[in-house]
Amino acid sequence: MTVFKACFMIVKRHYAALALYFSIFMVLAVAMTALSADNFSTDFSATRPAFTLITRDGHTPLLAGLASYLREHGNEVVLDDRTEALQDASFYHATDYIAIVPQGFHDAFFDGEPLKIETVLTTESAKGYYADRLVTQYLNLARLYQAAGDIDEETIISSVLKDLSIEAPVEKKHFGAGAPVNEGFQLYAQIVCYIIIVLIILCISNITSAFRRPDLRMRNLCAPTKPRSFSGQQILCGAVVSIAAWLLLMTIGFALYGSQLSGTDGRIIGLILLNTFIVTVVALSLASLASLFIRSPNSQSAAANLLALGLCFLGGVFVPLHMMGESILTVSKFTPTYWYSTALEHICTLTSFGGDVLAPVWQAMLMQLAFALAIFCVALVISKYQNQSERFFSSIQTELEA
Amino acid sequence: MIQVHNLVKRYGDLIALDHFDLTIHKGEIFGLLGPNGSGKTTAINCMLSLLKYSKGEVKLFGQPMGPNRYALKKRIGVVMQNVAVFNELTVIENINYFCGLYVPDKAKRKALVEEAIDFTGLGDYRKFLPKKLSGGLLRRLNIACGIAHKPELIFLDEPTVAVDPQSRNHILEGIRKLNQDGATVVYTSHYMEEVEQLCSRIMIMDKGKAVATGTKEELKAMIRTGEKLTVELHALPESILEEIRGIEGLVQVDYADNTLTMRYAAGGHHLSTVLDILRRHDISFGRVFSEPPTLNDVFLEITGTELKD
Repeated sequence: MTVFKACFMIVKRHYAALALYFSIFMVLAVAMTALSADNFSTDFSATRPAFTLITRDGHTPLLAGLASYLREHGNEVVLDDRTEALQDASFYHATDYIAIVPQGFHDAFFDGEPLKIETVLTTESAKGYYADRLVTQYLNLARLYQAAGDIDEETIISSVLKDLSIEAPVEKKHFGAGAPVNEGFQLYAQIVCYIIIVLIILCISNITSAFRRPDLRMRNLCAPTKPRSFSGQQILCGAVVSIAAWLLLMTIGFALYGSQLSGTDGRIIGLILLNTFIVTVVALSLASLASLFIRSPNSQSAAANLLALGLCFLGGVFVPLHMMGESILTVSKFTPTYWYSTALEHICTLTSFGGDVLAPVWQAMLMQLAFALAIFCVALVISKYQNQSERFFSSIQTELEA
Repeated sequence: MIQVHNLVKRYGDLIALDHFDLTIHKGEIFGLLGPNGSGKTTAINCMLSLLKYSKGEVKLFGQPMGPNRYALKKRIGVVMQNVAVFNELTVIENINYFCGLYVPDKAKRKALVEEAIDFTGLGDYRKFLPKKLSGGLLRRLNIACGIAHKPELIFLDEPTVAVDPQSRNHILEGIRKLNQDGATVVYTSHYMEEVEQLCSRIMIMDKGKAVATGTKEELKAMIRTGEKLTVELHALPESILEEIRGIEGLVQVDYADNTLTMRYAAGGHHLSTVLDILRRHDISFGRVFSEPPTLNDVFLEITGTELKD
């Protein structure tokens, strides 16, 4: 296993560069997942808008009921009935909703010709619209009771408030798959694909470029070791390094999001791990192909980044697939990263584990493996061709340069 | 130890080896001498089966050599013309790696690696990466990587190119030591002094052909020119130059830049005759140099071109 050990030492010598890449990627990944996590909150809590009720029609039971109903669902902000005060409050978002009840509103309401309530909604505030809906709901219901016939105002108000207090019970249930996958972890699993591809291409190209130097190749060919053994030990080292990178990245993922995955079905976590492992295999085959064309050590990082970025952008790792146009989606289906993203998307939305439900997941994973196999075969063919021609070429060079 | 018969190697239209024959005996330091492009490295690469050849036969240790003859490869050490080491590995790691390709046993290998380090004088640099080494030290590392496993047959392809005199002497002494320890050495160079100094037998190559083979004495005896005499003078009248040219056994007499150069036929010694003529005509002379024929003279006479670049 001399070659195997030498390969490890070569990777070790590039440790600083790899560690730098790794750190940068990790910071980016963590930052991206942290920033995106807010957008994916799945918790529910009732919104309580800040409202202001200005009444210029005195204190009538109708308006008292409205105020009481609004207080139940929101937080009242008391303001003076002055234009400047109302404008300031609205500008500084002190209140989400201001309702100004005009003089004569009560009488007009019960005469069947209601006056319009003047409202001020804070721009881009969903809470303001919610408060407005509460007011409309209350008045509509009151109008309904009033239209029903000979009911006094007190009864109307109490009936309206009683009706509005009825709540439909909501129970949150998960079927089969436990808690949904934490969105941060899902995003991490998505981005990790890029890190895996870059790291593995860098490691493998370091090994390959060292062993493919013509003079070293010639010296190795003089040794009593079969060329197949040389290649086998290099591939084995590449595989071990890739698995180590995968394990490390997954461990970090669990260290960051493990506590938020406690309720998630273990089978889903297992499928995510399997999917990332398969993309690691894809990255290994990609690296074995790419490293055949990377000649100088200086071009390694550029080539690794270019390839990984291209595949990840096209494959929907950085940009969600549903945001892509039809033509781009057609092209992206020819990238293994598309199938990685698709598999991950399916896995994270699983609620049961029936054969039909899992079929798209297996299909996407098999597609990735098919890509890996195809790329690896191409790499083998090119490598064989290059070995034959390079062996010849390097020897001529040696002679003519002498 | 090595038998090469009727070897032909072509690179397209270029014939790199033209019906090349070679026999090297056990215990020899055999020198392949020739100018750049004469086919030395190609010959070695064919012997090592690194190159396919168009025609001919190569036998090492009495057995046909081929790319899959791993038992034979195990007994061979190769020091390439270019420094062929891993830039990512330290001196000791490089030697250990190349030795490990031949010697799987760890304990045995450790001892061999230490021996190779001592042998090449790299003890102070064992943890150094190749990029930190000077040209001479790199060449020594290159040699250590090729000989650490104690091969019976060692190919050294121009191991002293671009090396400082101190390292060159170290390398040459080392090669002699390897030979004394029982290794047969095939040494290629275009430095004739080195080959003359080191090798027990020499083959002169030109344009892919072996033009002459033998010991250095045998090679020098093949040519008609012998010792070369150089005399520094203030002035030399044409009449006296003609008198000197008349001496029997002198094959070449030139006078230029106050220097009289004469070349004798092989075996001739006429220094006293020349000096007598100068004294007789009151020609004062300065330093007098006498040089035996060199391999360059051999090459020049056989091929009509200088061996030196």
